[in-house]
Amino acid sequence: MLKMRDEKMVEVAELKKYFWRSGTFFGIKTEPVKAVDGVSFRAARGQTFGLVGESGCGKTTIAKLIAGILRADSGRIIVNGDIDIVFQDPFSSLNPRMKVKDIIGESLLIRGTGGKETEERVRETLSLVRLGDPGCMDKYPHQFSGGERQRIAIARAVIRRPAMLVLDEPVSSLDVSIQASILNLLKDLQQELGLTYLFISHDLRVVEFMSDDVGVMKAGRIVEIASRDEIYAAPKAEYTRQLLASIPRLA
Amino acid sequence: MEKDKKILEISDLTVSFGARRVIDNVNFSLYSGEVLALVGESGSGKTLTAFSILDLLPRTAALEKGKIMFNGKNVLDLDHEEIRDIRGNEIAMVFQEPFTALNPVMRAGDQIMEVMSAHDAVSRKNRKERMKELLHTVKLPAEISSHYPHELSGGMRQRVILAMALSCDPSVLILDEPTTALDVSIQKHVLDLIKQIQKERRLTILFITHDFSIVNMIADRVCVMRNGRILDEDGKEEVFTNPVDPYTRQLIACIPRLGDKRERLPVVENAQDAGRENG
Repeated sequence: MLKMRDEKMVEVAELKKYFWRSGTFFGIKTEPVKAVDGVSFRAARGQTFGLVGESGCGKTTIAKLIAGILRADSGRIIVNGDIDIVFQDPFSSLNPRMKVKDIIGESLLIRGTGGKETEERVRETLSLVRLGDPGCMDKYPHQFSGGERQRIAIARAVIRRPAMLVLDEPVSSLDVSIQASILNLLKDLQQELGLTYLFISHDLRVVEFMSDDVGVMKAGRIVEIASRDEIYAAPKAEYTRQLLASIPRLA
Repeated sequence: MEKDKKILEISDLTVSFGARRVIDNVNFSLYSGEVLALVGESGSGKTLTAFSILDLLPRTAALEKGKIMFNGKNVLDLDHEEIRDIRGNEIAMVFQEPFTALNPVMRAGDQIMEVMSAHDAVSRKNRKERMKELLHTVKLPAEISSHYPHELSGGMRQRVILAMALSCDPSVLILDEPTTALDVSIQKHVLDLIKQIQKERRLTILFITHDFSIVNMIADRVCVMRNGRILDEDGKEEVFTNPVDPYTRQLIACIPRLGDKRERLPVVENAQDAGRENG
């Protein structure tokens, strides 16, 4: 275990991404939105780094930068292996006109894997995400429930056996009863496939449940970064304390 | 005092879509001044129950039987005009999505005043004054009135919608997952605000949610719904400490808690997971 902790999976250093509002004010460029403003963290192989913060804090921009969907203005992202991503909304992230087998297998076909082999791997991956029913393959996304669709999105992300997954609010649009089974599945997959996770959420309870280390983000910056136990037992930043205080408690 | 007064009483309510019963002999009452949480997963029938109260059921739904008594009248027997008088004026509803509930091309203040004019609740010359009061009630600055919805954050939008719901001074408020789309810290502010307004105005609230941690923050009593049926109905403390139905216990246990040392979360057996086409 200790050895695994030492091995770096991803290292992010001084990452910056500004968005310029379109247009200018009499030829003068307006102030940019500093979505990510000098963020650094690292995640060890096989571990989960949790990134927590509220809407607009820049956490999704970081997800997109690491997954290569956006280009950073400056800073470094060093990754030792393939990365894939799972988005928040399982309704808009799946093409409604594609069959499940095509959604999941597309990334293999693009890279030249044969049709027969792809279908076999899709079948395998579906059982990996506990959607074992063979009838699934030929159905369309609307025929599945929210939790099942998120399993399909996870299957699509793991089919090429990436070393790391970026999980951007993967359970935020699900009922709490469904959330539990998806979180358990993610933990199982991490064990079975040795995955490293960047787990992004606004919900501190879910982040605590999933993470080994946690970064708390506000306005494009990380205000506090520490091991899970330190963040939750002895939060240092005032903002972390505020977030903790706003969590609804059971009894 | 009047806490024990039944303000709304639902009995034997049964609604079907074709052969499928979506509300199955539902019985519960709302008592004056209380917050009753109606808890269940997506597809359990909780929103349809609320729709039945306001005659908002989709055309394809068939009301098989039941009574919904409000102010001595069975609302299911009322005609469209009569139900319109109740809707908004006496029972107002806040829907789940704060993004689609507002008109994107209309200023926030105008939307609040439009509700008053539609219900003829406030005289024309007093509407602006009343709108400003309402913004104050939901703790928004008066300048918000000239903003369009896209200029407002999710929490602000939900406050504007709350102001619209309060504009005709209803006695009952139905809130359908009003904070589900919000961040946790904003969620807490909105829940605190709802609680405060409820106390000040002695409102009776039916609060619909799938999340027991929210129930704990807001409710006095709880009804747990599954497959169109009420499984549990009790005071909040009783439901948390000694739930009648095992399903209730599972719904509470599946939520991660702060300081949770569990490696896995208990899963709700046969979780309904009906999916939310629109959310």
